[in-house]
Amino acid sequence: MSLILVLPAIILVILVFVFPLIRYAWLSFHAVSVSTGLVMVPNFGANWSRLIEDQRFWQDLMQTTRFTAFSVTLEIILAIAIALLLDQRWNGRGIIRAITILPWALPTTIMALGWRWIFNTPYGPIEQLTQLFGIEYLNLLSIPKYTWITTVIADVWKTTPFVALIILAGLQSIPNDLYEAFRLEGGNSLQALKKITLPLIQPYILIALLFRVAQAFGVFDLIQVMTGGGPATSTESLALYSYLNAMRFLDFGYSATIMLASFLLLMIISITSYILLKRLRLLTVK
Amino acid sequence: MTLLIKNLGRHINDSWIVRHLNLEVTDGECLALLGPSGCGKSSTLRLIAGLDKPNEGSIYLNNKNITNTAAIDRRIGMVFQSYALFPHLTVAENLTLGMKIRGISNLEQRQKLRSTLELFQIENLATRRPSQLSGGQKQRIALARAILRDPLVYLLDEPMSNLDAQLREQLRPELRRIILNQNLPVLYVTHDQHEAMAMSQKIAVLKEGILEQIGTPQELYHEPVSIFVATFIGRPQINVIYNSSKHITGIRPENIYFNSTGLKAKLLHKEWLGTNQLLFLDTPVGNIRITVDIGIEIPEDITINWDKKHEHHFDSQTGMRIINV
Repeated sequence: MSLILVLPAIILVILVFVFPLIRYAWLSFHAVSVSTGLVMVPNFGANWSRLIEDQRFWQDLMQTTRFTAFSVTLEIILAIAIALLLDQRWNGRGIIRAITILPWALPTTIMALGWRWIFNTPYGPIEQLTQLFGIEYLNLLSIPKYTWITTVIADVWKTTPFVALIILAGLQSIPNDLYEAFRLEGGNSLQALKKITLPLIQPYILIALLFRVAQAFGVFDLIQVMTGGGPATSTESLALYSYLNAMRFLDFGYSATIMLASFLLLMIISITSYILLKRLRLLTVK
Repeated sequence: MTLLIKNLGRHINDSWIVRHLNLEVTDGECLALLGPSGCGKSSTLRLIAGLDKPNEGSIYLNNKNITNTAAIDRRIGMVFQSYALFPHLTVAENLTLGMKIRGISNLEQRQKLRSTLELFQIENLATRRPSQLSGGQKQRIALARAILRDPLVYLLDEPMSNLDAQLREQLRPELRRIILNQNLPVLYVTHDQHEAMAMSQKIAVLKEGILEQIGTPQELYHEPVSIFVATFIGRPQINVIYNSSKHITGIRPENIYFNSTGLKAKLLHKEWLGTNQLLFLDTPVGNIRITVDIGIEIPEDITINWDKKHEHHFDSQTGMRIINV
């Protein structure tokens, strides 16, 4: 009886999660490309050995990791500050809270277009400013060494509100009594932040961190719209590389291999860090 | 270290939470602030602690005006109704956090911690977290923390209201032994008249932010200044008889007895209280409660009476006591 009740959920999970994964795994051991006439031909791990020797894969892995590390770190730091501000009582807080969440509510493609315009040479506002001061064009979207920073800025802009929201929830779960008791013990607000606030919101910070790492590691739409992975392949992410393999090079077998590899990597990172955090009892206050 | 409060008042927008409050609590004295919820008793404590700012009046501690002193500098030993223990710290860390902040040496911290844990006989709890403690244990830790503050005055905000009745009775002697014997002023907020009488020498009854009456439990019981105080002090509650549009008579259930002459009454219901029984009677002047001994057989037709000297008279308009009837 109980099995019947959970059956719809199980079927759904199998349909939208387990089946695609198995299909990916199956595909990754086949050659499916234009040269095979899009017919699945078993190639016994040739995709995987190609992956290991693929310079572009390793470069993209490094770039994806760099993007994830920088944007998530910045987001968490900014979000803590914003959440602390939004937790204070001041006039117009409700409106500002609503406005703060807007970037997150915006579709990524739209906001990525916006950022592409902001960084545009020569018409974007940044280049307009450089002109005003008589500086040469910065060409922010065409410097292989630094363009990745613009994608981090856009991602931070979009996702900080989400992290701030999670941390704000944590802040609001702290009873006011604790701060008052702390004040009566002789502590000032800076000490309260260090001794009360941060330890008590730490589980929320870590949960946000886990969420965000998983999300940022799979970044696709933002980069596709903003830079298309360029200049050269300097901002290309793993998801984008996999997409290009499938949709541009029509090499579905190899695309599946890249996707599956980054999925497995992400799983390993998330699960080990989750277990580690749980072991260290960092995910709960009590 | 007398605590003196002069004409204290605080309002939010247009409504006064506390107004015209004058109180004095001397060394070793425990004053209970008693009243229904929303009467301003907790607000009064918060003003004294410095957690809120008064709109008028002043607070003196040991002849020093502390009205504008920051909460941090007031040396207040406060126990919150919620205990306000830091959930992420162990009991020992909860107790030493304040000393650490105030820059007390490690050696002294350890000594004080040990002696306080001994005082409450809670040495075995030192490494536990608040979530692993029972209500009574949390309450003791909150008290211990207040003591370690080395305060000039104790403010206890409904310290036992989260405990069950049995535990409350167990903790009362402990609270008296440890806090009330320190020769410091103690302000004890409660909505429980029984607890107020048990813990304090004097009771201040508050109503809607205004001090209604202050006095010993006996004074409040025998000479309540208003019908409000009369109904708040004493259980079972005083009987209220509306004589006319202007005049109310109050008579306590324990002062009524069976008699051959007097008021005719019919028994509606009875409650067995252990040491006596409480009868609910229907009489021509309305429902009357009386307490009688356990052994007494209740006759069919009851006639009840009381002595004139036990009557309390109040003005039905103002609710205040009338001295000469």
